[in-house]
Amino acid sequence: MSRTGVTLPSHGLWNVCNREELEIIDNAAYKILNDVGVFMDDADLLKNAEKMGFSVDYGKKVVTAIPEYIVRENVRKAPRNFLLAGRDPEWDLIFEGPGRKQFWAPECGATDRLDWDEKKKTYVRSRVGSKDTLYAAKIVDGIDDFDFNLYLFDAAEEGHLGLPSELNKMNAMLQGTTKWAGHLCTTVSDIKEHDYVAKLGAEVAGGAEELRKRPLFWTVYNYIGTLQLNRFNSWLLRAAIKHHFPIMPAVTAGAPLMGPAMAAGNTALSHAGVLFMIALQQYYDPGTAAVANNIVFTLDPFGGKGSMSAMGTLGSCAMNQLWHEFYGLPTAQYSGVGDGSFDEVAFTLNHSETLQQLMGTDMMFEQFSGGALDPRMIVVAAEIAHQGRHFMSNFDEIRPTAENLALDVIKEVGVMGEGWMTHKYNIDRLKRWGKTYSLDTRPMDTWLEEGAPSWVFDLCKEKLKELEKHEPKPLPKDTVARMNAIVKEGNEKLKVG
Amino acid sequence: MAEKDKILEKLAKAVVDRDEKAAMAAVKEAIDAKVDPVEAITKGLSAGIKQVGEQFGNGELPIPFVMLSGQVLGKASEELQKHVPKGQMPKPLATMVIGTVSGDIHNLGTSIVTAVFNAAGFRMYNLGVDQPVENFINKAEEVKADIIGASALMSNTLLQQKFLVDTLKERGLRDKYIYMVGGGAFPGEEWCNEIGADGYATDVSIALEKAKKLIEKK
Repeated sequence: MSRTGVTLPSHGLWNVCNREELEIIDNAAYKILNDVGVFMDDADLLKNAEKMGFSVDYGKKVVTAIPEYIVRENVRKAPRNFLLAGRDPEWDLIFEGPGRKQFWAPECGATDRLDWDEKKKTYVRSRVGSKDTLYAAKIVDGIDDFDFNLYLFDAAEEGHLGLPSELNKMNAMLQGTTKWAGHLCTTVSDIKEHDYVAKLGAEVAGGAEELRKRPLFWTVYNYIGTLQLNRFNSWLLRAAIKHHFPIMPAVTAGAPLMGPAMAAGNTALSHAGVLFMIALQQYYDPGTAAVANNIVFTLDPFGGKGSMSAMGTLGSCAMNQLWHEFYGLPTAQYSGVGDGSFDEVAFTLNHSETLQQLMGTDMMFEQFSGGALDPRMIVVAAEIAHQGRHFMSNFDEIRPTAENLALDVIKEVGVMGEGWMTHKYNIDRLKRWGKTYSLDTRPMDTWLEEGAPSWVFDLCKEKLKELEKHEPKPLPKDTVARMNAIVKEGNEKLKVG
Repeated sequence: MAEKDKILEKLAKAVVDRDEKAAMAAVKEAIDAKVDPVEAITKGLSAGIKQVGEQFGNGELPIPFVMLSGQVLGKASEELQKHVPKGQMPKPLATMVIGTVSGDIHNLGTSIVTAVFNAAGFRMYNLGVDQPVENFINKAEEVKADIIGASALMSNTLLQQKFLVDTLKERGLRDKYIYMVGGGAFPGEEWCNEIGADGYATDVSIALEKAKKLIEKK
C-alpha cells in the first residue's frame, strides 16, 4: 500500500485557457513540427525517425515534415496508469490517470556544496561527489513530505576525474533511498554508461524484467536551444528505449533570449518538442511510461539566468492543461528560479510552487540552483512542501456539502459565538490544522528573547542536524557488493582522460 | 560644440540607441567632414558601447539590447575602418577566442560574454558550440589571440576545459595565452587552480574585470 501523494481535487484548480484556446496551441505545435522540425545529433535516432515516416535531412540532422497523425497515434500508446517504484513499495508513486495525485520532492543537481563558516562569517564552497549525493539522498529519504528522491548533489568529483558520473551518482541514489530514485541524466560515454546503470537497477529490482515492471528511476532530457537534441540527450533517449526506462522530456527554450517572447508561442514550441519525444519513444518502446515536463522556460533578459516570469507560469499552466485534458498524461514541473541568492531562491520557490500546485501538476520538483547548494535549503523545501501538501489535502472543505456548511451547528451556536471553541464539530476537525515543519511560530517577544534566530540560517541548521541522523533501510549486503562491483568495472572501463 | 564633437556624439548615441540607420548616417557625416576615422571609432563608437556596457553591468539593460548595440558598432566600425590609413588601425584592448567545449551546445553564456566584451573594447572571435580543443587553438593561433575562453554548462563536459589546457601545455603554447574558463557548470577556484587556468567566472561582469586585470599583467 503506497503512502505517497496528495489527492488532487476533482475541480477548482487553476486553468488559464479554455478548450478552444488549447486546441489552437495544440495545432500550432503540430505546425511547428511539420514546418520547422527537430534537430537530433544522432544517426541512429535520425534513422529511427525516418522509419516512422518523417522526412530527415541527414546533412543538417533535422527531422521535418512530421505528420500530425503519426505523432498522435504514437503518443496515444503512452500509458495513463503506471507506477514509478520505490525500493520500498510503500513509496511507490502510483499514477491512475493525470491530475489525480500530486507528488513532491526537492531537485537540484548542484556541483558544489556551500557550508557556512561561523568564524569567518562566510560560505566555504567545495566540490561535491557521490558521497554528497548519498548524504542528501538519505536526508530526503527521511522527510515524509517528500514522496520521491531526486539527486541534489551531482557526482561532479567523479566527473572531474573522468569517471562515469551518472553511474556513480545512481549508485549513491539507489543505496541512499527507499523512495523512487529519480533522474538518470546525460553521459559523455555514449549509452555504455546507461547500460551499467541498467545493471545497477536490475540488481536492486531483482532482475531486468522486474526493473521494467517496477522502474526505480527514469531518464530526463531536454532540448537545448529551441528544438535541438544534442548527442548526449540523443544517447539518453536511445538508452531509454533499449532498457525500457520511463522518460520525462522537456524543452528549455528560454524565452526571450532563446524562444518566442510571448507565452502562447513559447508554449506551442515547448509542447511540440515534448510531443515529438514521446512519439519517438512510444514508437520504439510502446507502453513504457512518459511524463511530460510542462516547463515553459524563461530567462532573465538582464542577466541570462533562469527566471520566474508570468510567461513561464502561464505557459506551464497551459502545458499542464494540454497534457491532462488532450493526452491524458501526467505532468512534472521544475519550480523555483535556479541560480541566485538564497533569498531569491526561497521566495520564488514558495511563490512558484504555490502556483504550480494550483495547476494540478502531478510531480512537483522544488528546484534549487544547479551550482552550489547549502543543505539547509532541503529544510526550506520541506517546509514549502509541507505547507503545500497541507493546503491541497484540505481542498475539499470548500465543497458546500451539508457537513462542510454546518448550518445546523451555526444555528445552534448562535450569534454570540461563544460555543465554537469547544463544540464537538470544531474539536473533531482540529486535526485539519497543520503545524509548520521548521518555522518558529511562537510569539514575537519569545522569538526576540531567544536572540531572534532566523529560519534559514538557524532553525533549518538545527533541523538539518536532526535529519542527518536518518538512515534508510539498507539494501542486502550482497546486493550492495554486486552494485559496487558494477561501479568499479564501469569506472575502469569508461574512464576518460 | 565643434562639428567634430557633434559627429562623435552622434556616433556614440547611435550605438546606445541601437540605431543602425543613424550610425551609418553619422559615419557618412564623419567621412565627409574628414574626421579622423580612428578617432571616430575610439571616441565616438567606443564611447557609446562603453556606456552600453556600464548600463548592462548595472542591470539596467537587457542582453538583447547589448547585442544589438554590438551589431550597430560592428557595422559602423567596418565602414570607418575602410578609411583608416594602413598601419593606423586602432588596437583592441585584447583579442579573445571564445567557444563552448566539445559536446556542449549551450551558447547563451558565450554570446553574452562576446557582446559585453565587444562592448568593452575586446576583439572577440566566437567559435560557437560543440567545439573540439583543436578549433580553439587553431583560431587563437590564426588571429594571434591574447585570451582563450572555454565555456561548459554541463558538469560532464567540464573535463574538456582541462583537455584544452593540457593540449596547450603539450604543444608548448600554454604561456602564449591567458586561459579563462566559465559557464554554468560552475568551475570554481578549485577547478580553475586544478587544471591550471588563469581565471574563471560564472558572471560576465566578473569575467570582464578579471580579463582586464589578466591583460594588464600580461
